[in-house]
Amino acid sequence: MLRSAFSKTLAASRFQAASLQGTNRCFSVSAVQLAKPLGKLVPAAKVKAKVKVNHNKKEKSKKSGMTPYDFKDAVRTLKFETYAKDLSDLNLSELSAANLAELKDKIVTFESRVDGQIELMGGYKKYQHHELFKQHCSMVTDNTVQIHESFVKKLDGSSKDNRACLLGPKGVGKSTLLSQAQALARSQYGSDLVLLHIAEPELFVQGFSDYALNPTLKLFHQPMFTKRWIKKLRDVNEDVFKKMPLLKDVTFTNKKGVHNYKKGQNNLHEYLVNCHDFGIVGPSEAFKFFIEHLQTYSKDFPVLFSVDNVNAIFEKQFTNYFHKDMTPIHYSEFEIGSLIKQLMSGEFSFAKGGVLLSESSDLGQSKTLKVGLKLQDLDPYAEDLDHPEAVSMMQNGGINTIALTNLSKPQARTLMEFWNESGVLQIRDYATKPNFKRPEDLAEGARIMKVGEFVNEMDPVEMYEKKLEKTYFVSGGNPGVFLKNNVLNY
Amino acid sequence: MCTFSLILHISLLHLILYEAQFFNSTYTTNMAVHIFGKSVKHNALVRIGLAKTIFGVGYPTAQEICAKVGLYPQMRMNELTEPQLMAINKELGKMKVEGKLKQEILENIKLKRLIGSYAGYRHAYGLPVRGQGTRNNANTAKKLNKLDRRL
Repeated sequence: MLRSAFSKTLAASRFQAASLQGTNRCFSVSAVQLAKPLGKLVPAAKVKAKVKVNHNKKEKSKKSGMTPYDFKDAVRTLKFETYAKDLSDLNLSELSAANLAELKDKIVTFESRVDGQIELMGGYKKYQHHELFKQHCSMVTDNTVQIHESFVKKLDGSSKDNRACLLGPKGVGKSTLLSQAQALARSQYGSDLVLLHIAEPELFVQGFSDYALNPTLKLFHQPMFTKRWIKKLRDVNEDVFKKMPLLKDVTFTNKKGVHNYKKGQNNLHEYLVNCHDFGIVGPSEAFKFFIEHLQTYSKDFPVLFSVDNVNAIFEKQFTNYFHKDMTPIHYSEFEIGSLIKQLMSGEFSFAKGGVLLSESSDLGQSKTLKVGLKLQDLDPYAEDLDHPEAVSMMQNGGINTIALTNLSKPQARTLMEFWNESGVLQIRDYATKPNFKRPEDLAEGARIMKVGEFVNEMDPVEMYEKKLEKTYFVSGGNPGVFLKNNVLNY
Repeated sequence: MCTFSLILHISLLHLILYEAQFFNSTYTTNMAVHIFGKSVKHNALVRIGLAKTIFGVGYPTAQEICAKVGLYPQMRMNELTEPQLMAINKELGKMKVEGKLKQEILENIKLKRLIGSYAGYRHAYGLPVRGQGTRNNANTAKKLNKLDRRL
């Protein structure tokens, strides 16, 4: 009992003490007690953030990525030639057959009209470093003189007797010489010359174009390739095609309707512009009609038929295409391929003209081409060889070979001088050095060694000579390697 | 009622004509192309796309189909026209691929089990069938070889 009474009194005393403590605290906070009520609480007004609008600001135009290619492939499309030094101060001559002897060992440009035509036909290839110069330019070498003497001058004769193939290692200038031959022929005959050029025959061999069988001709028609090729040809040879009236009446249909072209009234250019049968998937005789006209008119207008990368055709025995029964298709079963084969063998020829072929060093060596050009004996038991093809190339006197030569030392010096004048060449002690120093900068006292600089400066003239000697020795006079050694710094 | 049915007919006709214009057009979009009930990536080469997508079609068979239909080797899926798609489907329809092939394989396994052959026993017990060792791994067999085998 006592214990419970004690606990009750203790609890009561604690309760009182707690309540007293509370009252004491309440009284002590007088400021709260004296404070006046605020009344109704008014929320603070929202202050709108002032947005500064610049009305004069122009909208940013979205720029897409520069290029998806690697640098070495991208330089072709980035138009770096627009930033190159203007070559008008150098007074470069235009390449022409009339004064070729004077132009020997000099740098020349192409006539602007011819330049455009070569570019359109795909004559300027990648990795030729055309982006370094404002204009397309090349050097008249012994090879140029040789091709003029042995091929361009013979364009007045039959194409059967004027067949040549350019051979040489990578970088020697086979494609460039092909372009020079076209420019020389153009300068010799003016617009009265038909240029037919196939820059990449691999496009119709490796399966990049569609195909359809023409049962009447028993040849495969390749609409995608043919229509693009014809479109280029009609632009390049516009003047000469306008001089060729049609030899037959012809009827064709395009989106605008039915066209009836009369013999003698309409010309070949009109036909090529309006006839879209080259691009239709189905039997068409448009290509045959076109070639027949070229052959007939070749008495008056010589035809220069050229094929670059010709070894792409003979790299494999068959193309990547298949018949319906899964037997592979030979290149001569195609319309274009058949034309190439007939022209190479001399079976089909132009009254005036020539066939100029050029191999590519980027592609594999072709045994068929070697045997066909009589560079290798025909082994009847050889398996990696297209026997009928090699034999056909040897018919009608065979194809002449033109082996290209490298630059001589004076030619290399001329070329280097041109690069120096056109601002391409950089004479440095080492690649990362900003520029060479003048001798007065090297005077005692003014000489301050930079961190990482360990090469002694040399006289620029001496450095130039040293570079010429070094790069000519390394390249052996090969123009492609010589350019790379001088221009490309890694 | 008569007017309503006339309007319905006209609208249906319009719809058919609208669909027909796409039916004849070439596929050049980024949409997947559907072949034999399977979707194939739009920018795949036809011969690669067929081989990768259709069960029972390998690279040589795909090339054979392309040759029969007349498709060029570097053709891509989004370049196929509707008649070409139908021709591919027709060629695939003649072949034993996808469901039919899977069914045949399962039936063969079932038959082996039924006749009590050693291969059938191995299939049923989830063990390698063709003489492979079982000391280590054999994971493929354990994964695939079951009583209710599926492909």
